[in-house]
Amino acid sequence: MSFQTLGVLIIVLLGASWIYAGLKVSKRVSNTDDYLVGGRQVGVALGSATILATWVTGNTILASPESGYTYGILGVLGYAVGGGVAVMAFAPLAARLKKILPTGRTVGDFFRLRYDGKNYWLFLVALLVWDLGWLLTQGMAAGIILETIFGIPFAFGVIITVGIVLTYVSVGGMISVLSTDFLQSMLIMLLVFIFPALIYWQANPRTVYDGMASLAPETLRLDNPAGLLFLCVIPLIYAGEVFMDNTFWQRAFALRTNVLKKTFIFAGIGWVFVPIATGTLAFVAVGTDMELPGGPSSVAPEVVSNLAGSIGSVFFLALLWAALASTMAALMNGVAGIFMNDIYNNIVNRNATDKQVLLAGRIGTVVIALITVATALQRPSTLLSLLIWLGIINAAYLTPVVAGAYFKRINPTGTFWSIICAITVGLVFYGGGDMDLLFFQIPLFTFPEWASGDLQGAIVSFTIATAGTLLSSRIWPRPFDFRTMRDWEPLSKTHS
Amino acid sequence: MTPEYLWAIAGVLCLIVLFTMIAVGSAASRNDSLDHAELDDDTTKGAGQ
Repeated sequence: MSFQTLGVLIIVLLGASWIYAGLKVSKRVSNTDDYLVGGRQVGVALGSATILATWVTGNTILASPESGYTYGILGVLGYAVGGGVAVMAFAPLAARLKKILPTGRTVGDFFRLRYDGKNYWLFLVALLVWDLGWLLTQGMAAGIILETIFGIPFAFGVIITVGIVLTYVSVGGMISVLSTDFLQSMLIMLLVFIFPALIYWQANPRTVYDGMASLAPETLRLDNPAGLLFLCVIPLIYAGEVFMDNTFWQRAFALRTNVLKKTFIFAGIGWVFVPIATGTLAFVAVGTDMELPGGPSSVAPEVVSNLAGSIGSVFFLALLWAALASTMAALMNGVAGIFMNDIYNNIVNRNATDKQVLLAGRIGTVVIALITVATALQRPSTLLSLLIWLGIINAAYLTPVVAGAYFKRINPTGTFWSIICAITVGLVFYGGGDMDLLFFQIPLFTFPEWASGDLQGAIVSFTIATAGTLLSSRIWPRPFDFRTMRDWEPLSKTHS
Repeated sequence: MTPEYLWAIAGVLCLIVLFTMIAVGSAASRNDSLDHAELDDDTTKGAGQ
C-alpha cells in the first residue's frame, strides 16, 4: 500500500465515522433551537468537549510550535495561557448572557436588541468577514496538510474535507456537531499527549536542551522582550476572538444554566495543555538546528517527518485533521446561524415559520461550504495576515460586548463611533503610520518602528474603544432595560 | 527599558481593565432588577393594586 493510499484511507475511515456519528443523532433536530443551540440542555462533558474541539484549530497545532520557534518558552506559554484565559474569561459573561437573553441564538441577537441599527449592521459585517476568513483558513489548511504529508492534490483535500463536514452539519446542525466534537476532542487529547512523548523519545530531551542553550539561548530566557510582549498582548487578541465569535455564543446559549461557568472554565484549562504539548515540538527543531525549508510555520510538520516516521505522520494527520474538521463544523454552523437567524429571519422574511428558518439554515450551510471551497481553491496568500489584521477588530469589540452585557447606561452612538475610531487608529499603528486595509495601504504618517506592529495595533484598538465607550456613556448615559431582552422571543417562534 | 517592555506593560494594563469590567459587572448584576423573583414581586404588587 502506497503512502498516499494510506492517507486517503485514514481520511475516509475518520470521515465515515464522523458522518455516521453526526447523522445518527441528527433525527433529534425538530426546530431551529435544536439546529443552532442543541436544544439548550447541554451538560458539562459534552459542553467542555465541544468548546475544546472548536477552539483547538489547525492554528493551535501548527502556529503554537511556530510561536515556540520564534519566541522560545515565552511563545509557547503565551499561546497556551492566552487562549486558555480567553475561554475562562468568557465563563462569567456566558452566565450573564444566559440570564439577560435566555432565548438568544446568536451574537447578532445581542447586538440587535442591546444596541441600535447602525451598531448591529457594523457588527454583522465585521463578524461575517471574521467568521468566513477563519473558515477559509481551516479549509486551506486541510488541503495544504494533505498535500504536504501525503501528496494528495490540494483541491481534492479541500473538497473531501469540506464535503465530509458539510454532510453531517447541514442535516444535524449543532446536535451533530456536539456528537462529532466529543469524538474529535477525545482523539485530539489522546494524540496530543502521545505525540511529544514519541518525538522526545527519538530526539533525547538532554540533547534538545543542550542544543537550545548553545545555539539559541534567548529561546530559554524569560525576559526576552519580544516574547514578553507576545505573552502580555496575545490574551487580549484571543479574548477578542472568543467574545466576538458566534460559535462561543451559541455554546453559551446551548449549555444548561447551572453548568455554564464550570464548563467554560474546564474547557479553558483543558485547552492550555494542547498548545503546550504541540508547541514544545519547536524546541526539537531549535535544539537540533533543523533545516526549515518552508519557514517557521512549517516547524511542526518538519519535526514530525524527520523524527516520527511514517506512523508518526499518520498520527499527526489524524490529530490535525480532527482539529480542522471540528473547528470547520462549528464555524459552518455558526455562520449558518447568522444567516438563518439574523439575515433571513430578521431581514429577508420576518414572517417565516420555524420550519422555513430551519430550511434556510440547511441551504445556508451548503452555500457557505461552496463559498469556502471556491475561495480556498484560489489559495489566497493573505489569509494569515487577514487573521492577524482582524485581531484589531476583535480587540475593538471587547468592551462593547462586556459593557453592553453588564451596564445599563451604555451610549450606543458613543460606542459606535468609539469602535470606528478604535479600528481606524489600530490599523494605522498596525501599518506603521499607513492605514493598512490589507489589499492596499493609505499613507498617512511615518511611525518609528517601535510604535507599529499587529500586537501594538490591538492594544491601541482596545484602549480607544474602551475609553470612548465608557466616557461617552458617563457623559451622555442612555438607560437600557435588560428586561426587554429577557422577555424577547425569536420571530420564527412567534410565527410557528 | 526597551519599547517592547512598555508595550507589554500596556498589554497587561488592558487585560486588568478588561477583567475589572467583568468583575465589577458580575458583582453589580447579582442584585439587578432582572431577577425573576423581583420581577414577579413587582407583577404581583401591580396586580394587587
